[in-house]
Amino acid sequence: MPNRWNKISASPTRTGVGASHPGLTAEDLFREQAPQSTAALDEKLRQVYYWLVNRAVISPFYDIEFSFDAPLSFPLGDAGAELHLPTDQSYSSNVLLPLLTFALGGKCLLVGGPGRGKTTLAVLMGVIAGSTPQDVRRSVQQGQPQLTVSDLVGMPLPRDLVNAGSLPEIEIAWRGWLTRPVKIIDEYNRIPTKTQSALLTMVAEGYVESYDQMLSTAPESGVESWFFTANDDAGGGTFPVIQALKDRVDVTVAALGFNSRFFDELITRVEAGEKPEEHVPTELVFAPAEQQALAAAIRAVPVPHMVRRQLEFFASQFEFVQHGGRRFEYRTKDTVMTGGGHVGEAIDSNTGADLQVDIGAQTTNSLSARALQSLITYAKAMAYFRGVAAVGLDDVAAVLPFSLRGKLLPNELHPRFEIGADRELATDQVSWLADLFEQSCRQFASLGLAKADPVGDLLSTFAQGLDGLSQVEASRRLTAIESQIQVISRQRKLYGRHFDDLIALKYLHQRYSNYLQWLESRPR
Amino acid sequence: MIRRAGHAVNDTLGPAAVPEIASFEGFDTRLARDNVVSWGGDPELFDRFFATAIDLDRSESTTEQPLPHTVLTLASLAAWRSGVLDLRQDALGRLTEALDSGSVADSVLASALGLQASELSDFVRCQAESPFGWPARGTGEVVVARVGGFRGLGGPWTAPPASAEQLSSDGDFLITLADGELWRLEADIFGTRLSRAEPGTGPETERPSEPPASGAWPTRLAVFDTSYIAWLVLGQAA
Repeated sequence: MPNRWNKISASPTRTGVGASHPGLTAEDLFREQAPQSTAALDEKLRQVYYWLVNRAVISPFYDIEFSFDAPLSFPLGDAGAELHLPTDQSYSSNVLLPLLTFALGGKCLLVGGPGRGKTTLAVLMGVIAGSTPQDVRRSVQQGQPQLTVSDLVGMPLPRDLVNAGSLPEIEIAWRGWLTRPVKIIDEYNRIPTKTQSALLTMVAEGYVESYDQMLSTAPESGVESWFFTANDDAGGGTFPVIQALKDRVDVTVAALGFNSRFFDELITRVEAGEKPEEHVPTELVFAPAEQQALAAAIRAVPVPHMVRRQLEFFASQFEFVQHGGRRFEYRTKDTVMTGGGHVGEAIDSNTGADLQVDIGAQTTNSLSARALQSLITYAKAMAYFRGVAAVGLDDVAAVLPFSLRGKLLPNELHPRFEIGADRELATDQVSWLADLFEQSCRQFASLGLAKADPVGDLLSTFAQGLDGLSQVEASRRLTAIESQIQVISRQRKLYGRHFDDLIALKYLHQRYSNYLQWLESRPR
Repeated sequence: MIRRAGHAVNDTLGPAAVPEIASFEGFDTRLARDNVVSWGGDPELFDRFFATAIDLDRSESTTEQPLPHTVLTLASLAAWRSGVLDLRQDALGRLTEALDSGSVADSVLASALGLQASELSDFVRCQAESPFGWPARGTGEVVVARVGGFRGLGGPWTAPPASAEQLSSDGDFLITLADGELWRLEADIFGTRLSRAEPGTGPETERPSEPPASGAWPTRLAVFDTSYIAWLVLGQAA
């Protein structure tokens, strides 16, 4: 194997994360250290990342920035461009997010023009999962307008079709790619709609069905990751991608362009005729048990209360639209959209709130629970990858633009996208989403919500249970809820964050009222 | 001149011709070296002290191969000497046992630590008092180790250390950098370990891993406005 492929970053790949090993003995010195310990897996993951960016793909982009304090910034040009020099380890999104997808068993959409290395990156993930490069290449499903369900999943044996007396007697020759740990669908927006529906069952449910026969697509490790590629995610392609399939994509990452300053490396590869996937060092391959342990360790990373609160606050902004309906619960973007209305116009007609302050006014839709689940999982994966003990706001901020891209859609009628310096944010979704989260965090701080959270307090009190709660105490809590609603009611302007609080307060009111009624109806 | 992190006990080590270490039956020395690296030790120092001690044992012993017990004792001492903090207890236990039973020659044991044979018993006594115990202590304040350093020059920090406070046990410090970052330093006479600390780490939250030393080995961490290096200073005996 040529040496230039074989170099792996020396441990530790992050400074200051050296762990202690209490109780070491001389015998341990001569003992192979358990390679499958979960403590070492994050280090191995980082080594894979550095091998990928330093050896395999030519990607000198560090667009996921982390800094201990304000990064050094240089203004560039006359259009407000800035180059930041971050002070902590920063990463290339088009390599790191696919790697995290592999680690946690997610679904990643790689978008970008042809020849940008989207498929190569996905194939590399397959090799890291333990398959041979040839097998991975063979398993790549090429999206094309004539792709049928049988092409995708396999077909019944002709012998059975003739002899079978009933459907269960038909044996299906399943395609081999279905049970691979890494599944790659190239150009998924060229697949016909019917075949996309079959794909959806696999992606969403983890099984495939044909002629009443079923096959679970889970590999040996139980951790499967999906990689889709497309030239764009804005509706181009031969067939529009069905919304349900789009919604299953956890992260969308753009394959970045080639930096011409790295031309020498390109020439070397042309001359040597080498492909990176054929040179993955064996030390970097994850065994099925390691993949299982990796996914479990990522899920186990805690999300501290304050990070959860900030996420709650962010997510609460997007559902409400003042003129979305008549009854309070139906004043949502979803009501407008499902009723055939135009969300942008409904937002525009709201003169009671300041559009510049209302973060929710910048989007035409709200966040689904699935999208939030993906966001949390990827934030955990980011924290795990960075070797930190718990998810931080910076981890959330790093993955959020990629996780919500294509899921939170910009309201093009919002003044922000129509005029001024922010107009480019209408097409640069990653920057817009990052900015949206920053705005939300700033609002959270300025409203002093970190210090006082009356609705949260009422919910926590309720979470302690109703067992043994006296009539007097239940009535006291009902009064507290009504007072809190009164506080919001007195405010002249209503925002998304109030909508979720009010719905939660109504829920609490119902629970306590029902409890009181039950108490009063009990025989004494 | 750029001052770099390091230990005073290693400053006076001159260049040495290190004999090659062969693997013994049942002992993979290459693996031991890799483990030393992964636990924060200096592989060259490990090679130097382990190979020298094994070589000396061969020349003084009647057996062709060192006994397994001897290999383990010398490996533990050499790994600790090379900076593996977590081997201190094991190495000290083996050293005391070997001195009491005479199973390994004093000169061999001493060479694994870079000491003279005559200094061994003093060293054990000093170490019982403090992780910084060292026979040739001298008088006045002594810089035991220099820790940290600017990341651009291979160190861990992007801001100079602003303050340091001692946690509950000897050689355990909490360092606050000028940019507010918190780091924890654990150290003994041969090695240091720096790791990022969580906010809230402090003397009141740390339980002592061993009883504090007698007043004979007081330590403090000195920081300077103009340097990314902090000095671990052994003060005058109380």
